[in-house]
Amino acid sequence: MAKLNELIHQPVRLKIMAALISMEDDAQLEFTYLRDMLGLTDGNLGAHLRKLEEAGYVQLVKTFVARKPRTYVASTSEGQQAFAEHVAALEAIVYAGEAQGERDG
Amino acid sequence: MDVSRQEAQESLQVIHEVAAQMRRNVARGGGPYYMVLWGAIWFLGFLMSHFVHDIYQGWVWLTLVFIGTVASAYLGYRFRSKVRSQIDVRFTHLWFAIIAYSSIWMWLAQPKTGEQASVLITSFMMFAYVVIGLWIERTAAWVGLIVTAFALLSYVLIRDYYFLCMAFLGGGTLMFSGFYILRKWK
Repeated sequence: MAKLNELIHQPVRLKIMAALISMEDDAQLEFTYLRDMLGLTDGNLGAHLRKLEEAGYVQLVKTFVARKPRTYVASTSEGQQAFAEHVAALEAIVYAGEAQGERDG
Repeated sequence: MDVSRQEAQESLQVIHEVAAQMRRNVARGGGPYYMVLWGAIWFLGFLMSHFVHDIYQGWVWLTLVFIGTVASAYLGYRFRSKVRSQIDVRFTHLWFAIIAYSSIWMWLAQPKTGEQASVLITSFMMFAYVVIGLWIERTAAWVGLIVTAFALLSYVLIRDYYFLCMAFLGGGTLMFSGFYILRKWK
């Protein structure tokens, strides 16, 4: 049975992972794009990304575009798998609750 | 870690909303705008091809394609992707391949009339839409198939009105589809 992932379940990190996973596997989102989309500050997003990076769930790619530094964020295959398991665990809880409700009702 | 059913439901809802927002952002990233732009160019080009003399048709299309290319470059700059993906590279390669091969086939086929050249080019471009549709957005594949069918039917059945048909059915379908995708992802 799929297990809940405490690191991913935190609301901001859940949104970060959902945004990354909703794209193609090789997609990279720009740091500022992710920050604006989720309504976070640089520091807040950076702190959450560090935790996800330490767990091996995301990868930060630093590059230069028109001589300006840019940071892109991508999910790793480990992160994609962990997120899929977390979603499966959430769905299992919801379905189990529904089944219980039907039995009781 | 204990999570209640309600909390699990809310988390799944958050995931769904973020994914939907991402899709909307990507949809706004240019694709449908290109469809509207090139639909308008087709509409004007084919409409003018119907009414102006053959010798001016080349200039009409040259001017419109130049405008379309400049406008596409602007759209590319305006919506330059905050999302990097290998699929962007594959798109660019696909269009280069389509243009290269259509040039070869045009040279080999040597179409004798404007209508023949047009139906050939239309089929090449719509083939690219079908391929893109198979990759990403199913609507694009339908657009490709429908416009190809319109082009072939107009060419075979009502050749005198071929350009007029392509203005409304070809250009119109492209514009309508662009607006449809924009609305769908709103």
